[in-house]
Amino acid sequence: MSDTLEKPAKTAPQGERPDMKSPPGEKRVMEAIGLGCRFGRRWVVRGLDLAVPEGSVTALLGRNGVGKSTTIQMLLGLLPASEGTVSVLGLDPRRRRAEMFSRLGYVSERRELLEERTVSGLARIVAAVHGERFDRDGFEALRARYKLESGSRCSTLSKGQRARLLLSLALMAKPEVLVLDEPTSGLDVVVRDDFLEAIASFVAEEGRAVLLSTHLIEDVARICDRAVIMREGAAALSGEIESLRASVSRYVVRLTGVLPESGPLGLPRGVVVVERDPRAITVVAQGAPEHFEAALEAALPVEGIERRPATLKETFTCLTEPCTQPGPGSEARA
Amino acid sequence: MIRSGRRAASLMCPFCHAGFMARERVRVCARCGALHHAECLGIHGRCAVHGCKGSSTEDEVEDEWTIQPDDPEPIGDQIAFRILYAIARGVYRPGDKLPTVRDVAARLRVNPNTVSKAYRDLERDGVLVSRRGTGVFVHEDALATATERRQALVLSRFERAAGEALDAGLDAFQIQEVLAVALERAARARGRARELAELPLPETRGREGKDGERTP
Repeated sequence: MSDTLEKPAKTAPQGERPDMKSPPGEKRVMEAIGLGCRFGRRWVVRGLDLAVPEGSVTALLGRNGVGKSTTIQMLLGLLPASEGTVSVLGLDPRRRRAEMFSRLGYVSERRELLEERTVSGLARIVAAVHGERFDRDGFEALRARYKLESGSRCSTLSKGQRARLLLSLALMAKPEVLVLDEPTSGLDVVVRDDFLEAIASFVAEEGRAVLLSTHLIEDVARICDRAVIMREGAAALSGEIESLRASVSRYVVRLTGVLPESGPLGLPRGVVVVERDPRAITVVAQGAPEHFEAALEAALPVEGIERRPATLKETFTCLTEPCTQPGPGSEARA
Repeated sequence: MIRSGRRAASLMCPFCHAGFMARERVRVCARCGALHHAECLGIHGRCAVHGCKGSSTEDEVEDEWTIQPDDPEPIGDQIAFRILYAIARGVYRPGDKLPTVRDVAARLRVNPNTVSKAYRDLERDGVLVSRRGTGVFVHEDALATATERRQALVLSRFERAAGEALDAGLDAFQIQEVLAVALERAARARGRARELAELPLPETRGREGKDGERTP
């Protein structure tokens, strides 16, 4: 049951490890250890540890260009990893890709279809690939619900229809894992709701898991219970969303003096300014409140500090902050 | 937000005891505010909530079984409070079965783990009981707990708002005035303005326009 836990620790732990303290016996559907990808001499991703436990919807988050899509490609074996190990459903995706894809559903961010085929023609192809696993009746039901004409050519479908078609095809092949790269970006509210509802129903069944990359905080807040946050220049953070959120606080700092309109404030590292007025600033920071309150008082003419729990958006603003420059560089958003 | 969440929503129809599907037509009892399937209310002819004798309904409304994803309050807690409110209001009675985790998750489009955590939390607090293989039910003594928790939660919300008002420089009298106006508006929006007549509300006339926080 817990075979994935006894993976040989091939790479030595580097720097801070993400929380690997999952409950004993928890099964990991996807796992990467020390994953890295290099294009020429440039490392796009390095030292990434990632785990998607059974029953979870894990969000892969990070600013643009931080390597989320590259990571997904490596996890699916579509791109060779320069270092590290990947295991999906206990399989090595580079060696047993066909077997892995028969148990995994993937919707890429580009939403590519065989443009010349019709909706039902495409479904027949997918059904032929998956054999008996493919639920034709289920597909027909979803197709009707999503109002997709079976005779429409794929090239004539709108963005939302393409997304719905791909989702229906992926779901009806009865996968154990669903990997969605930016599934809801550019879609209207109704199609997004369909996606979220489908994900919620999908993962409610025993032994399933979802990994999705997204920029839409509302989707994360609703549907995801875990997150892996990729950051530039630092190890990824991962854990349950609620504990990530609880680790970040928002401080509204009222000032006795007047601040300059812009320019560095000499705030401690890791403090991100979300709002800046002459007489008050709002910052978010991860860590123990006492530590930050003292540091803020040292850096600014403080009249009073009010601490509140951060919203999810603020949490991710804070946690996705690049860690390349030390000190005042963390005020990039001021 | 996508839909207005002006009403604390119930989890299932008091008539047929089934949950509500996404974008399903629902109707609201004008007296107790409980949601019914439009069809069920048609069959029953009046509010099906125990003890509520409401016979008129508001017009059909968009279903308002909503949560606020970006509220500082975690979604699991929002769900737990919805259930507590529903129990306190009598939409669920002791012994009633709750919809399954799966139904609630799909309906709210949230993670099933979040819903089951909310159920577990309420179970730990003695509000719900789960019976292996049959589902989750309202505990026999849940009403007292639910009423108490509702009181505490509402109080803490008002306390925070009152604190903000004091910080903003309002005096106690002005805050009372604002509260009266807020209550009146909220009740009106829910078609429950009649209840206000029964209340000994503080005088709200006479200082009109003085502080600019009120529209006539």
